[in-house]
Amino acid sequence: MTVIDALSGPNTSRQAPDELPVGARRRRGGTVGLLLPAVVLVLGVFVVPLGIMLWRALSEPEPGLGNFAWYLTDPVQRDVLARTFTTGLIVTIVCLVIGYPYAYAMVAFGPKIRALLTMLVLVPFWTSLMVRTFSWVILLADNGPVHSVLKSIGLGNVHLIRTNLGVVIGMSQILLPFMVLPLYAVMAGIDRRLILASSSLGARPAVSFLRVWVPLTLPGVGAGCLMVFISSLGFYVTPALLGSPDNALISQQIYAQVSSLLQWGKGGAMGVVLLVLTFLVLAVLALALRRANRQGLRA
Amino acid sequence: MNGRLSTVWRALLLLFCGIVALWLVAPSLEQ
Repeated sequence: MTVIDALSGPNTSRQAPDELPVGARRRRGGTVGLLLPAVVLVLGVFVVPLGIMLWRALSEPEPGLGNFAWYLTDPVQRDVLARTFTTGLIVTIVCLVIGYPYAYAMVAFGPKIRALLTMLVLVPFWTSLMVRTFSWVILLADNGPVHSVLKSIGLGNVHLIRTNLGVVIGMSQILLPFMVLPLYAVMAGIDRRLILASSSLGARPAVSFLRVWVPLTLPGVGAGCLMVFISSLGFYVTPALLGSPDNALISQQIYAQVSSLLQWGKGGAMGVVLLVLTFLVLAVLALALRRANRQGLRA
Repeated sequence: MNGRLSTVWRALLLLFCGIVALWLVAPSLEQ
């Protein structure tokens, strides 16, 4: 008895064989009914606003592609777009470099340390994004704790707040769980006897790690990188609080267009360009992964 | 990985995780 049978009441199970099509139809109706709230929600809060944004980008202040032409030819906006993608890339690399050994430690040590490491990676989720970002403002401020420590070990006056470095530190800390968790999920599912097998065939530990372990974790690496990169493209709070207006990211520019300058058309065009570029990145990565898989099968 | 990570590697990995953990909980501790 399926969930749908259970929901549609006792009549369904008592139907005679010749009434089956009716029952099947009713069951399909039940499936559509179950899907309906989700579909309405997605249409209402995602598809319709996107449509309105696209419409405004094409129609305000006058109909045409003027907003897109302005966005793609303005050198300031091009800089902001490039900075957004560069920051996303740096944050992704930082998260991968820190997250990979961390996830590895989660599977390499015993259950007690694993529980502790898992808890620590989940700690950021227990406080709101806003509160965490304000905490970073205090931590990274001039004469704040981090500044004092760096000064006391002789690194001089290192400015972290209102710099790109500060933004990268804050964003990496916030996005690290999105890298660690998929990596851990993939690593936990790997058959460790493969490592034993490779070492019994004469591979040194470093070779087993690089040629057996790392390739098996690539799906997790891909998933983690994608999550971190895509999330970082739309980050608003952290760059707004930790960065400076001089090195604003695209979300801040969109906010400025819509909220301060009331240029809904320009803001909409920027949003559409960001969405299209994000889809392009996704498509390129999907193609690369498919090709890698095919080559892996052939090898 | 096969339970035979050398002591040095284990210690280094633990140290690294300790630093990362501190970094992860730093904003929460700040409150």
